[in-house]
Amino acid sequence: MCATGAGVRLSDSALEWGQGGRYNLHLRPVATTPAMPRSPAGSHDFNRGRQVKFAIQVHSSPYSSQGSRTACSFARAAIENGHEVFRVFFYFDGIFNALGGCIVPSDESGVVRAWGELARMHHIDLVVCVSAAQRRGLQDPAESARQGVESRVAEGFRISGLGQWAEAVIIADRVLVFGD
Amino acid sequence: MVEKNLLFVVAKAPHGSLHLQEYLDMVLTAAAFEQKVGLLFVEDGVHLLAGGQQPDRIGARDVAAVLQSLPLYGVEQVFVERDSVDERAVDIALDGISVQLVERCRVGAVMAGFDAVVTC
Repeated sequence: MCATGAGVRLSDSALEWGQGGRYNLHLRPVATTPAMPRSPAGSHDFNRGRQVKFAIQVHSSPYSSQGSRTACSFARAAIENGHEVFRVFFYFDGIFNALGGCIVPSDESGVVRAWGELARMHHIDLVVCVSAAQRRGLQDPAESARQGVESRVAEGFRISGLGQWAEAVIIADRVLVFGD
Repeated sequence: MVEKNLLFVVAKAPHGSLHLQEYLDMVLTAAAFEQKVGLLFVEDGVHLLAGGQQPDRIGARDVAAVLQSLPLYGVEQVFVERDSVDERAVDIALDGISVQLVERCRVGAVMAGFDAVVTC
C-alpha cells in the first residue's frame, strides 16, 4: 500500500503503525529534483546538504560559445553552496580560456578574468591540457622562457597533462562537461 | 585506485576537425588509468567506423587506426547506435573489435549503466 503526492511517499510500514487512531507517518521524499543526475552509489544527495565534489571540463573557447561562461557560473554557485570543485580541466578549444592578454570592450565582462578571480578567491585548480594548448599556440611558461618570449598563460591557470583530467574524474562524485 | 565505468560518446564525424583525435586521446588516457571504458558511437560519429578511409589525402591523421588498439587498452565495451548507421547508410567495417548494436531507444539504458558520461 502506497500513497504518493507532492513528491512524498508514505512507506508501507508507516500505515501499519497507525493503530489507535493516530498515524505516525514516515515521510520519505521521492524524486524531488528529477532533472538532477542520480549518484550511482547513492551516497550523495544534493537536497540533504552533503558536500559534492565536482570535476568540470570546459571544451569551448571563451567568446564563441556560452559553455565557458556557464561553467564558470556553475563552479561559483557550487562553491557558494558549500560544494567542492576539485578541478576544472580545459580541453579542445577550451584551452583559449587560459589565453591571457584578451582585451574585451568596457561594457563586457571577460570570462578569462572571471576564471582567474574564481581561482584566486577559492583556490580552484584550473588545468589546461598541454598537448591541446601547444597545438593551438599556447606554450607552457617554462617553454616560453626557453624560447625567450613572454608567457601568454593567464593568471590562475596551469598547464599539465591529461593525467590530471583522469585523476579528477576518478576522484570526483560528479563529472560535468561544458561546451561541445 | 578507484575504478569507474566511463562512457565516451562519439557523435562527431572524424575529419572535419581535430575534435575526434583529441577525444580519442582522452579515451586512451582513461583506459591507461585503469578505468573501465566504454565507447558509444551515435549520429555522425558512426562515420568513423566506415571502411576504406584515406585521410592522408587531405592531410588528416588516420584516427580510425586507434580503433584497432582498443582491445590492447582493455576497451571492450563498444556500442553502436543502429539507427544512426541506417540513416547514414554507413558500411561499418570493424576487424577484430566486437560491437554491440543498440536501438536509439536503448541509448539511455546504456548510459545508465555507467558512472559518468563524457561527451565531446
